[in-house]
Amino acid sequence: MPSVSLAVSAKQRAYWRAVLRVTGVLLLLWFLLSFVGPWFAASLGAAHVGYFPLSFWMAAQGALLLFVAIVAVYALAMEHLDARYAAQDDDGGEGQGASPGPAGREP
Amino acid sequence: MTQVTRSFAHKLHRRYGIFTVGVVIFIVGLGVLERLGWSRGWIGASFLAATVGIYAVIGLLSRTTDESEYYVAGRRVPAIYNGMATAADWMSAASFIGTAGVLYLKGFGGLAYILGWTGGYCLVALLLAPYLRRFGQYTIPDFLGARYGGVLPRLVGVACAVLVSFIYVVVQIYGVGLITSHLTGFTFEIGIFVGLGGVLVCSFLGGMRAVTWTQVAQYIILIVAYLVPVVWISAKQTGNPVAVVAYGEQLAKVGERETALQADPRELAVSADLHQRAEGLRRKLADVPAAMQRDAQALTAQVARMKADDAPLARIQQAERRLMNLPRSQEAAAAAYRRELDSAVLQAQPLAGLAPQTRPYAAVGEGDAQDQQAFKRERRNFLALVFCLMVGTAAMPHVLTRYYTTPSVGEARRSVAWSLFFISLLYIAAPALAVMVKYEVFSHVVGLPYDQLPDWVRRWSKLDPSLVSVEDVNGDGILQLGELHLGGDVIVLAAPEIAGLPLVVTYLVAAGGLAAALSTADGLLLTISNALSHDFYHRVLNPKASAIRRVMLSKVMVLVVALAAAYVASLHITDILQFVSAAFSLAAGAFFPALILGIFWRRANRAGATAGMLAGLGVCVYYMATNMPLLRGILGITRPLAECSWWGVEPIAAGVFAVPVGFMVLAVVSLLLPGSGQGEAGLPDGVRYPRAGAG
Repeated sequence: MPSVSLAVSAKQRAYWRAVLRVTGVLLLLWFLLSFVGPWFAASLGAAHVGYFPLSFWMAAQGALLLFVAIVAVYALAMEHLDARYAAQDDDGGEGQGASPGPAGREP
Repeated sequence: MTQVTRSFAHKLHRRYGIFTVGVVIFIVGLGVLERLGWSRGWIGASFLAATVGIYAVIGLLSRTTDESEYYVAGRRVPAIYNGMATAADWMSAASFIGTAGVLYLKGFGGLAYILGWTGGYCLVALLLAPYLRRFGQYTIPDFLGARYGGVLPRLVGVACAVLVSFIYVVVQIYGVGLITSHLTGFTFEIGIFVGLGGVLVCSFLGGMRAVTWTQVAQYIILIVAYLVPVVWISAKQTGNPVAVVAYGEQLAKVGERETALQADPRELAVSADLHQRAEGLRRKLADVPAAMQRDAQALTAQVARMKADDAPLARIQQAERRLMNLPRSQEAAAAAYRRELDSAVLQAQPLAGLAPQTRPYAAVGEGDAQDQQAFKRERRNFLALVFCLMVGTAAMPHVLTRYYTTPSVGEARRSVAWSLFFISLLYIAAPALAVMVKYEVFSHVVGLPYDQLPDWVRRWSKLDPSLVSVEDVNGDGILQLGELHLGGDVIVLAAPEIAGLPLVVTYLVAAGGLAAALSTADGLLLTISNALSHDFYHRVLNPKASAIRRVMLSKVMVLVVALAAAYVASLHITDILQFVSAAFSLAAGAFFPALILGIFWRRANRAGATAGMLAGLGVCVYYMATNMPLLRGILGITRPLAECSWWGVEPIAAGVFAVPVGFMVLAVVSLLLPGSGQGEAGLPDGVRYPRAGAG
């Protein structure tokens, strides 16, 4: 096994914190849609979306659209973060920070 | 996307574009032939032969023995196509046939499946797919083995993957048998072998490479097969082909019909009659031998009377047949009475046991204490099911390994987005189909005189009385809702007939269901055989095995497992949706904690992971064994059901207990035994940060 430095650079820490922030926000939205919404489904009363009762519409259509949005937004946000991380590679920094992990398995 | 990926993608666009056009031409061609008088049998056979033939051709063209191609399709699959393949892999016979059915029967309760089976992809995207892809191996047990080290996590992973996938694949092959036997007149057993053949021609020759490209073709077929009836029926019923918007009107009309039917005096009369019948059956069950004797005497007397009155020969023969078919033993008689009792009780409910279409948690929750209890229990079970299906999605090995086949981490993330998009196309149409069929049944079938009932009622009730049956309970010659029994599975399969569409659409739907079942079965078979050959044989038993030998062994395992699954499927254990949901709970309990904490918590270690996985699995199995009637019967458990149930949660949602237990055990054991090994140095950090150039 190649010897790797396990120290985590400041850049990596900042990157990971950003990733956790994006993940956390989107997970919170997911949680609201999946559990909080249905919990209160019966109390939504007579609210309607067109002909659909609101609770029915949310579970049958609204939540689905938002789930797709969550996943799409995540892909785009992470692309942005990854690009920024890669761009920072050139400013030297502290010893490049190890990129440990299973070596040589990526294509 | 790199240049290579882009040009490959262009090639794929062209090929699958031509394929889609071909599919449309084929359908229209058969439609024309139907007009010209081709028989049912020919049309059905053409669909079957053509679709399975295409899959075989793609499978042959993609055959390989190269290791990377066999296990992960060479990691060349562009995001959008991986998305389509995942969607087909994901959408099983249960989704295709069962979802609209459960929405028809359970109304709002059915939406738990819609939510659960889509929302889980958020978990996959945010917490798993990119990290697993960055790790870059071939299977889930690979990840567990590398992250936690040692032999145990990998072994437990293999066992769980095989268990969960095997249950799921048996259900698919059963679904194939069902579809082919119902629509082509082959027997169930022949249908299973058709399914087996279809599955093997893909996965056997080319592994993941063949399976992926076939699944893309299968997705195209299944989405066309689902959307054509939905759009057509919508255009027919409301004049607006955009079904997802238009069905709102039908929903409102269904609601009105529900109110009218609940107040209809004739429906109430049928209900009263059925309650009486139920009483009679309860009396019979209290003294089975006497009841058997009375039945025999009554039928014998009836036959004698008919002969004396010179009744038509056919009716005498019918009565004699009924006399001969009376159950012989006490157990058989008791079972028969219980079945009739259950059916009578169900049909006697308002709306023949169907839940109101839009009311969340059917009990209103504002009445007395018992009402409140029922409401809370239903809500709890809804959320528990949603939880299990979502977390189970994010823990299903055959889903997670699909993201190993994309060219990069960024492509993996996009692929999840595409998967969810393609999956949602079907799930957004399912409620539309259920509601439009319900509208058709409530408005145009209920209330008809018996001699004017549409063809499909007669055909299906002869074909399979457990799916469709009618009986004039109150003897008024008109069909009431309480007199009609429609099983969930028939909603999708018969929707074209119910709405009066041409026959070719019915066979298209069957072809779609077949595509869904075969694609999922392929993915599962591959997961199982890879777990056994790559993870168990190669990594544990014989690390020096050559690549060729591993691939060969995997192919052999595919064959063996497929035959085993076909055998179990032929045992006819029914209730597809229940077993599928149970598989999700098992996967969730076993894999989710170990995967998540493996990625996000540095201190998760080998002992913790092993303990956590076993604990999660154990809780799930225990709860299901003590609460599922089938397993209780097999294991001879006699403790009353009420005592075994925890907070009234259904056994298929056992994951809601297993997952938290798994997390806690993993965390506690990891903290208590910090010295236990951790696998490769540098994981989990290695999966967190992009590597230069590779992402």
